[in-house]
Amino acid sequence: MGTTPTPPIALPTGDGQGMEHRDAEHHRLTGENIIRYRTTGIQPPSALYITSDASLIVTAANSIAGQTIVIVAQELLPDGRVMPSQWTMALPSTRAQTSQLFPLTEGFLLNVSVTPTAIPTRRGQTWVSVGIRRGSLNAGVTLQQLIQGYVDTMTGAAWPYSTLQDSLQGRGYTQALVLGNGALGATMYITVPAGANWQVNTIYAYFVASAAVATRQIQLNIDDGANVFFQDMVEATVTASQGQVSTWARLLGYAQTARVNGAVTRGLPDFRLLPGWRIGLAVWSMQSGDQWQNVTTEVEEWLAL
Amino acid sequence: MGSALDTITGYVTAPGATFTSWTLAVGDTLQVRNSNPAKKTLLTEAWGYNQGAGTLRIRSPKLHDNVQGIRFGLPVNSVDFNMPYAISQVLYPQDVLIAEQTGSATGGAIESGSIMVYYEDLPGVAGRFISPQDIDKRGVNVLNVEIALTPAATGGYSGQLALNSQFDLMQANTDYALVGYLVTGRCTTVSLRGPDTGNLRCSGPGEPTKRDQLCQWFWMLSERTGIPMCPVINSANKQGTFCDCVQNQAATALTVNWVFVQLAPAS
Repeated sequence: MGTTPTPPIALPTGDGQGMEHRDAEHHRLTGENIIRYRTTGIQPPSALYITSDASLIVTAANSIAGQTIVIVAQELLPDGRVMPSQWTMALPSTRAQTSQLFPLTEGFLLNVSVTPTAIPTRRGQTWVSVGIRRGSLNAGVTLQQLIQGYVDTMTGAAWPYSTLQDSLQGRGYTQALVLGNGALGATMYITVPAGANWQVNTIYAYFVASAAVATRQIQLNIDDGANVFFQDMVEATVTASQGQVSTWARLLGYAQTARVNGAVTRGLPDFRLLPGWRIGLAVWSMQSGDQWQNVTTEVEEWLAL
Repeated sequence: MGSALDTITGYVTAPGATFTSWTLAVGDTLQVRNSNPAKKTLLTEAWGYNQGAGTLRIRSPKLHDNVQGIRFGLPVNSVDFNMPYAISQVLYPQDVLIAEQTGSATGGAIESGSIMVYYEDLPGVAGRFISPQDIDKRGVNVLNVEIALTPAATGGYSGQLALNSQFDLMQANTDYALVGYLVTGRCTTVSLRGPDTGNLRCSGPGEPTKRDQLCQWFWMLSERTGIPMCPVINSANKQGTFCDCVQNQAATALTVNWVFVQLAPAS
């Protein structure tokens, strides 16, 4: 008859221990979710509740021509829909602050972002502030500030998660200004425009003396439009038909006294100039045919009152 | 319960390809009037008159979206209505619509448009409207009232004249149902308003090549929506019922021929 074959090694039975554990592990490894999430009756995803009285107030200052900012927002409406909104605001290049109201609807404000359209927009050229306002532009009240800071082509501004920044904070817009030639026989002024704060990094100017005989002495004055509060008198004098290149640089720790190859280089104080303040390129004993030429300056600008 | 048909008109000047918000005609507002929220408030039609191909865009957070919303391409020199007669967009009281338009970039070119809004219940207004079915029952004679308008070149409503300023043949103390109109020249909008319309403008596009549709403008709107939208004007109010139009910078004059149906007294 033969012997009864030896059965193979017995597999674990479903005894309430091993098989259930293996089933759970099997489900996890094959992707079936064990964890369930609540999808109804949950708290809204934003803490900012907007009533039908509220609007978005956008205030901006800008120095770049042809600038338009695009404001995008999303609201969670009472019926559960997420409503996207988009507005545009054309900005003058005068650095003056302009404001506009954009109506919102009742719901929870989820996010707001602002991006500039002019390319390139560099940091320091366009500054925006976005808030929640109740009432009109003239008579309303701004209840909460959401966004405040510079926008540029690489970096927009967004709420939530961005910090409110002062317009004088951080780096400004660095630019080289080519001012050309001054009037004959006159002091040449470099004036900070309205709506700007400047930090002057360098000034380059070529003074050309006429044939009139006189001993001229170059001076640089800084005033607030009326009161001089800094004056640098260059030791090297300029005589008839001579020329002198003068360069001033911020944080330069010396003042060259003697002309070298027709040029002197001297330091500038480290401070910011307010709107309307002036840098004056003057000449002691200036003659009517004398002229400042090829004046350029490199400044860092912030938008501010 | 006071129904009303209202018109919101606006214009832009040389917008080019940039969406430009309407400058509203005098007296109009993009804020939906304070109507009964439990009743219908409908954007029934919208149209525009462009001299350069462009787009009319109407949006608000209460519409589908506040990015593009309702958007119509506007051909050159053709004032077409853009929504099917039977389809209307629900509006919400006190919501502020945003209306923007693109079009010609030629300096001084006025591109304009209008929106027609129906209020089922607008407190303070009691417009008189009748359905096509009631016109069928009560209609007696057809009467055409012609008015030659001389519009201005500045955008918005202009050229206003009384209903009886040129043809004064309405029979005394008689109701007339306005079913449509015809125009001899193109303009953005022709409108009629008076005591019987709650002093709100009942209007339509001024397109001379669509006579077959505009002669039954209010009739078709009523029939397709199922809402009485044919204004009823009583001849006693003819001097206080005014017709005007919206025209572009060319200020082309036109004649409007209002198509009325004389009504027998309601039984």
